[in-house]
Amino acid sequence: VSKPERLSPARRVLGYEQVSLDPEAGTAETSYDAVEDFTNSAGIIQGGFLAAMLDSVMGTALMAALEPGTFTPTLDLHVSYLRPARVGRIRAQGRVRHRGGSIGFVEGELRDEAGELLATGSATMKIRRPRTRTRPEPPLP
Amino acid sequence: MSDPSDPQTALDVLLAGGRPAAQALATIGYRFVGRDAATGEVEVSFVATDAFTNLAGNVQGGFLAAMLDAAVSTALMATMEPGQLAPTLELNVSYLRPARVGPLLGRGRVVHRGGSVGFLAGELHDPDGACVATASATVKIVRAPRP
Repeated sequence: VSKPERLSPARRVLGYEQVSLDPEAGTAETSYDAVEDFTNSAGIIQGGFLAAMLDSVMGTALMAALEPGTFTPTLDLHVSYLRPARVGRIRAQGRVRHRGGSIGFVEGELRDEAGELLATGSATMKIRRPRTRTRPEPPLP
Repeated sequence: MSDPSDPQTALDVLLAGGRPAAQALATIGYRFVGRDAATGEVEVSFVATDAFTNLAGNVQGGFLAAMLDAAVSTALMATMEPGQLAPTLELNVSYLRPARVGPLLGRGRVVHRGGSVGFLAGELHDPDGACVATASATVKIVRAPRP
């Protein structure tokens, strides 16, 4: 069950939709719209916009089990581009590899509607909690 | 840059608008500023708009990645023939400080270029000159399919 959340302008531009969320497993599924505005001169989606989608899905996975008001600014993002991405719907999966007290390590991947793997990513994110902690989070693998 | 009617490099073609416009570049407010002929380093500028922000009001990292990709690609394009393309294989970005809405200045350079692979690096600076993010990229150099 997805909790209602305020959508950031960046997510609106990317056509973000939350498909599923599993806070216990630390996984998230989201989808995005790759539009003409994101294409390079060859008509392929420019890599940075795929990076934006990966950053987004990995942030969703990391935040799934964190208390509301927690921000997860990205410290480092690494993307491998496996296949050219075209205009259309992009499906994304994110997974928390490890979550410490102040740092999270996350992985993500993007697929086209046919299920072809387009890009994979990994990120290191800082966990910035709201000033007053209300409850501790359950442990993650 | 050389005579736009006689493009010598892929960058000349881009700046002359000779290929279909890259809409991604327009989206991030890309503008070519200049190139140091001695070092090959390029300067390009971008505009981060409100549409690129996260809920903290800072620019989402992926849009900075798009700017860095464009900055380092510009440096490489100055060394490529018209008709060559350089799709990105790998992009690594380190986020040093939050980036705010407004203009950003990008620098890009070619670290090493082989026949079919290029290694690139670049940075993004805010208007105060503070470095907000650094990037390294590996790209494949290919010939564009004939239109």
